[in-house]
Amino acid sequence: MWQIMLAILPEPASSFAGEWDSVYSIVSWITGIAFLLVEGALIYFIFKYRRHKGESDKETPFFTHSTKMEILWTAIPTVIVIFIFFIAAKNFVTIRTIPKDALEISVTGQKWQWTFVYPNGVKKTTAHYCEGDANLKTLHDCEAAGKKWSWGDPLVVPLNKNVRIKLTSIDVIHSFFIPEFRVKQDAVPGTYNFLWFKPIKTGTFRLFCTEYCGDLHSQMLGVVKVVPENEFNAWLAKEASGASEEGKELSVEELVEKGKGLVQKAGCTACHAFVPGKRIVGPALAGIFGKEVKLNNGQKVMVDEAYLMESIKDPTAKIVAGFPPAMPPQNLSDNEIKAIIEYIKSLK
Amino acid sequence: MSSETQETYLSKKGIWEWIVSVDHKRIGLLYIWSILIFFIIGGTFALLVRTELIAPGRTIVGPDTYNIFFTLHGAIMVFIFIVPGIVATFGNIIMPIQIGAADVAFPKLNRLSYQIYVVGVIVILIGLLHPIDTGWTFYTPYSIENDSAVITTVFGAFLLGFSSILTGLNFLVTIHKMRAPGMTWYRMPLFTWSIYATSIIQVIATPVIGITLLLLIAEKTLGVGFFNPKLGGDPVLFEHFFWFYSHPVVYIMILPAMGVVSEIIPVFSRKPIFGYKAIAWSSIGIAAVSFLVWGHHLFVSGQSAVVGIVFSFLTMLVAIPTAIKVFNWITTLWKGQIQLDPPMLYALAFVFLFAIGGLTGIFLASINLDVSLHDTYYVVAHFHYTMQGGTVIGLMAALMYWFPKITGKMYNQKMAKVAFWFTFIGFNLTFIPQFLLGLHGMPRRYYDYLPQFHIYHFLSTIGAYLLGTGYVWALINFVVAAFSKKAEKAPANPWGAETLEWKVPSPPPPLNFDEIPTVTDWPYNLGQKKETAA
Repeated sequence: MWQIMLAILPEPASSFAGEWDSVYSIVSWITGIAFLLVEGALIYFIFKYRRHKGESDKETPFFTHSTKMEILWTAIPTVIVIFIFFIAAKNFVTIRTIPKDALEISVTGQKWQWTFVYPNGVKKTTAHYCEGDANLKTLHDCEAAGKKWSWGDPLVVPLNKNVRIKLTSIDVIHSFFIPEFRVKQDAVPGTYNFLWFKPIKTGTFRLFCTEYCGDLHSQMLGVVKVVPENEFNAWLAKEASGASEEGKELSVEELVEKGKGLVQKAGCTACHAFVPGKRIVGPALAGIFGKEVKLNNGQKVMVDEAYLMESIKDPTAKIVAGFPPAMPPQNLSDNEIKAIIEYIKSLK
Repeated sequence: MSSETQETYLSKKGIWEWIVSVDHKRIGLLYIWSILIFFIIGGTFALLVRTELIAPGRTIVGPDTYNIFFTLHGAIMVFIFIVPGIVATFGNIIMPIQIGAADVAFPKLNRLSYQIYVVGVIVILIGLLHPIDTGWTFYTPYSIENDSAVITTVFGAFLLGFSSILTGLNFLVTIHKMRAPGMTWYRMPLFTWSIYATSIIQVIATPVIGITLLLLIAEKTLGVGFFNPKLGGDPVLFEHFFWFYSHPVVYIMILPAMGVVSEIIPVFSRKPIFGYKAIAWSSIGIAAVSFLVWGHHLFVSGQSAVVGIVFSFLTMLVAIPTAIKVFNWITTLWKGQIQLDPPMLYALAFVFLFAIGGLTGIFLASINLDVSLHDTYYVVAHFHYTMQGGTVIGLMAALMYWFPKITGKMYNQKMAKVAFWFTFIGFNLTFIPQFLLGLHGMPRRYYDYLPQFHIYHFLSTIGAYLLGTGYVWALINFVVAAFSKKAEKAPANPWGAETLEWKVPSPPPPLNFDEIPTVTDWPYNLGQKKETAA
């Protein structure tokens, strides 16, 4: 029975998940017994005392109160809920007391992806797209078509090390939830929230957004990858050298290739078609470079590098006539935006 | 039969008579029609949501339409259907008769409540031209940045709040000032006690949501920074304001249902209610604690750990008066002579389902467990067990119980029982898989889900279809009985109950009593010999 109750739960994979599971088990036992007693008495009485067909009215006991019973059934639940409160609060204090020596990773939520920034500046983002067919919008539809779905970069964390997540959002409220770690915290714009965990198992787990944030809320997932510490350090160092390469000059072809990958990863393809004339939420981005577009204030503007740069950094500055001001500001570096612009230029 | 020639509250015909009437029974009946229509609409949206979720990936609509579906399901069910749910309907029709009054204290104010309700509903319907996708909770800054009809819908909800405040105020005064001679507080039927407790919450909590919704409108139209961080506001402040009302409001929904069940169980057990005072005062206790637990919606919002722990403790306390009521109902059954007529079936189902809702509430009040379970399907299942398994089943019990009084006719009881089993089995099949989904970590308000969640969603959707069938069946059964010339006429007291509404003809005359009665005893001397009853 103990095992059955725990089997329902995601595998406990953080230092405090075990205690969480014990509290869950204890509460399950207590409420399980209460459930059997209460529902058992209810059903038993219904069967035992039900009126049979043709039975005449009978006199029933005039039993309207019993101080002894009433004190007892007030006192027992009181003691039980206070006990549960204490064991729950104890585990909660552990969950919310962040160790001083923790590795800090900055996590930013935005519609509809997570960005992770490591202390040495390495930046990773989640995504959600079907490799090879941007029109397939869900994991199921993508896999059904025999293609591979991507959740973008994983959140890589070291085994048995304390990790502190510094959490914020650049648009609406999101919530950072890793079921296996038994942690959840809201990412609130305008402020920082913190959470921590110490992974105790290697493997991949799931990161969910659990605060409703709009159209692609259910796609705002990520993969959490726990690796041994030495592997983590090696990975981080390698990524850091890769990040410094970002500054180096790329050829136009390389930039186009990089931009093509970025528009999927950064989620652009959720709202923009990269074929001419097709409307999703925002305007199609193919074949527009060098042309004039009409804005919603009646002005006209030439689509050039400066306009595209501005539109990605501050999307509501100029709105193309007939489209909603729906795009959130993007969490991209200038180099990344330049690559995206080169990609847009390449689309005729 | 002399009652056939007697004038009843239904005698005057014509739409105009219904518009101008200040009779509490007519107003209550208008509320019943209104909420049931929106129950069907809100339920349709629920079935659309469940249909989309029957399989992963796109099933019938895209994510934007899905988000509108679940928002409208929640907003219609909460604001239009379940808040007025039992209070404005049976509170209006039955409560004044139960205390031996000819009407509520302020009949014209009562009519105004209904008129404001209708205007609020119309405003919300206008909002459907550009339907909102914010969720019924309107969380900021999502609702601020949103260009759908948030302002219209929020204004509609604001108006509905006013209707609710006026109804609560009217009932408080009615219960204080209009009781018949001899109707002391401890002779009052428990349904009236529950309406009293509910009215307190309506009057105290509802103005807060009114102010909050106005602040939201001011922020959206005038750009005043209350909640938007870009203007220096705090989005979490909105959550605090919102739940300061919206948590007490769940007790506005559930307390009257508890009152209904406290009437039905003794009548159909042919035995006095056990623990009358405990049931009456636990309603007041729940109303009082209800104001101090809103923070349990914010355990992971960034609220400090200490505040979270205090709210966890206060939330645990709600379990105590709730448990006491359940024990009292079950003890009332003991050694009774239990008759499983449709009202009793629904009342017993209420106790069964509400107990599950209450016990799973203990998991959510346990603060560490809530960190993981918050905003998952576990919460969805939990509040449907309390709000639907509790309030809606309680409303069905009330309809089954008072239908003959209100219409003067009897519905087909066999049909009602068949409908009951569809509802009961369908309900559990819908929501038990959702507890499991939540424990697995499936977040709520998701358009799409991972393949491992499929089987639970599939079962839940099948359950929802059964559940919908049960409700539609029961409601059709009522409509047929209400309008059919062939339906059996109901006597004044078909169930053998002792409360005052059963001492007047079915349907009652316009002013309820020929002569205001004098009350000499409580109404629960059921299954007693006449001597002991005296």
